[in-house]
Amino acid sequence: MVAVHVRYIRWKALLPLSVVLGLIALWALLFADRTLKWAVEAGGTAAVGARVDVARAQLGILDGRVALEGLAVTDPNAPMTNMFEVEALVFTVGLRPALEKKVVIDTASALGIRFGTPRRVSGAIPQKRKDAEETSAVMEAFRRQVKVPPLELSTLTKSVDVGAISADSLATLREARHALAFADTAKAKLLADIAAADPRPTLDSAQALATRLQSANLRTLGIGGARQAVTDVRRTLRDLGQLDDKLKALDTETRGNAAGMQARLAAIPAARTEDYAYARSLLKLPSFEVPSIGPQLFSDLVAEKMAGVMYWLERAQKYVPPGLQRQMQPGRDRVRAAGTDVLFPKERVYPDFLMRLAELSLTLGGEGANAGNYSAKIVGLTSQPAVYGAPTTFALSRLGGQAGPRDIRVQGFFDHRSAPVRDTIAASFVGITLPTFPLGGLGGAVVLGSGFSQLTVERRGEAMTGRWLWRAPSVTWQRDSTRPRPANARTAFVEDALWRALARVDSVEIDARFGGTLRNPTLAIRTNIADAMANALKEQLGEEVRRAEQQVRARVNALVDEEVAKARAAAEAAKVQVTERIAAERARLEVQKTALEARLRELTRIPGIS
Amino acid sequence: MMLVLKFLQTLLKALNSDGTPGQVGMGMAVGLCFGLTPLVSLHNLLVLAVAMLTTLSFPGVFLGWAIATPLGFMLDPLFDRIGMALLTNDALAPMFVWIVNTPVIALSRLNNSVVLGSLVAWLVLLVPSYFLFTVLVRRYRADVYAHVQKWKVVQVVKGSKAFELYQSWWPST
Repeated sequence: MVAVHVRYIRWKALLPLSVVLGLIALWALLFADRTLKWAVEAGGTAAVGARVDVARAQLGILDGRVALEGLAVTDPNAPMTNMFEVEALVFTVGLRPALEKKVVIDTASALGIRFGTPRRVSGAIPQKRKDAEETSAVMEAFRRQVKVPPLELSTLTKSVDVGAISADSLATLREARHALAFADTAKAKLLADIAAADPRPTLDSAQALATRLQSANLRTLGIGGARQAVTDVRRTLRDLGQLDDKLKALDTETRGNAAGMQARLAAIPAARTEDYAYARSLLKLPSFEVPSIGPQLFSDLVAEKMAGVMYWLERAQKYVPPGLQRQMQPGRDRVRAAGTDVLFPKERVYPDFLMRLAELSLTLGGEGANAGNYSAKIVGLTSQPAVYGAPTTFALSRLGGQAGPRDIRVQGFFDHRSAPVRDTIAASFVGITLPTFPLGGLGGAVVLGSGFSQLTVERRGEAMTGRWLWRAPSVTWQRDSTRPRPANARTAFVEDALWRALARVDSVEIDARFGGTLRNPTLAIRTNIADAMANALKEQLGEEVRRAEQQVRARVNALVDEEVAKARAAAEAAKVQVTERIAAERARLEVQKTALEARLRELTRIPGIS
Repeated sequence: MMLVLKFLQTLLKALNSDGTPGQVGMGMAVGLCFGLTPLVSLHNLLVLAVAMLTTLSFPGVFLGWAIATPLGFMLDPLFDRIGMALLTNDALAPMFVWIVNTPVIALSRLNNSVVLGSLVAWLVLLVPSYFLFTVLVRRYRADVYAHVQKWKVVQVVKGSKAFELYQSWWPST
């Protein structure tokens, strides 16, 4: 028998395998910088939603030192502008977490940070459909819900077309028709109930008994007849009592229906007020109310600025989810399908991304408004707060500069450890160049110049509150000279009067307050510009607007008065008809009852009859 | 051209004479991993080491890889579903928590639905495909090889200048 020696191990392959592994290690070493650059660009782009570029990256594998040069982060809302640029960023990463495919940065320092720098090429990226839809839906919903149409002066001088007010759209008509239908239904039901109760047989029978006993006595009835008569009278009185109870119940029901009817009729004036406002809005008459002028002037610009804040709040919620639940993220792009990365957060391990502490001493050069020295500190910036177990806090302040703002302070925290998430941002800027605000509908702008700005945002779950305040002590007004003057002389006159009123305003305060939720926000804007404009508008247009409003009211009244009158009449008629019918039946019942009770008293006086 | 010929020669050599049908079949079954799962994955380094250090047919590995690559692209949606089903299974969650928090193992990206789904699919197919490929290689050697040699296309290739030139540089065994 020949022993067959089967070899399973190819020992001579050890050397080629070592060479292959060595080549892979060499490749990793040679291309580590490029891989790091790619990873920062890809990861940053995914998180920001716009291109993140790195000019040069260096990775010290042994000491965990990472240096990035020329980091440029595109502003997702302005792809030709960098949100910020960093000349050099140096940080150390933990090696053990890196072996777990996690990025844990112990310390970080940055040099040469600039904000809002222009880009040579667009930083927009083709958004993944679902991602783009979700983010743009939040921003769009915000814009749509807080923007109001700009001030419209031209409508004043047009003849008011009240024909545009459609009867079908008026709430008063709907209320009146409901009231009418209610009255008809209630009346029909009560009359049917009275008919069902049918008091006539009982009343007729009682009347017949009373008539029969009217001249009866012991002699004509005999003792047995008298006893029988007493029994009959008592039974009939019981029947009458039951009938009376039914009629009383119907009477109570009638009063209840009348109260319901009154409530419906009482809703009509409120509906009419609503219709006046609706009809007025159709005609776009300018409002003299101070709270409504602010949004008309500035809601466009404020909505755009706030939509940017909403973008980051939404992004933070999406990429820094609370809790220790499984988290799904799109896998990284590759030739094969990307799939989905499922994250399994767990307490007391490293989060996927953590920057424990970043103390940044920033010096912005040049003579621009942002030039100066800044100090920033970020603690506990992480993608998995529940794993890290502490909120992210950040603070930035301006230490000084030869030009630009006197003071800038930004601070806040993101607490996404558990739901509901809590985000707080407070920023104040003293002596900065404030934005130029276009004046919606007036063809011009107010240049706020240097001043004070403060932004506070607080979010708890879906609910949020916030305030953005701009205060400028010395503003200039820019009327758009290229804009054609209104063709109508009256409109032009009013516009001129408004500009004269505005020119007298030196200092401006614009106070935008928002609330509600991310998907259902509210915005109120108060400004002293609105006071000036309201006064000027009242002075110039008060009489005309009042006249137009009267026309609107008259038209609404003409459309609804007939139906309202019908409803009131029907309600009254129903009440009267039903009440009278019940009262008549009860009166008849009372007569029979009295007569029978009298006969009963007489009969029970007979000895032996009780 | 030379590379294509070399590749074809390697494959034919594997099917004809390089090791037993079992070795070639196992090589092909193992090679499926490179095609079915995303290539740049940590587990493929391990599979490569196994392929090199064991006596399975290395050309067979290449053949399996070549067969599986188009399949991998086609089956990605299926792998994604398999992977998601496993990753969202509560009973398996402790295992995945361990995987993503263990040094080096975490680099395997087994928490990605396509990587996990394709790897599991390959592991399930490993043994059946070994038997299938072994039978097919045996059949090929017994019935098809001689027939293939008579194909005009094979004769044309063998009679071509390029093949002569190739033979002069890399003579076949």
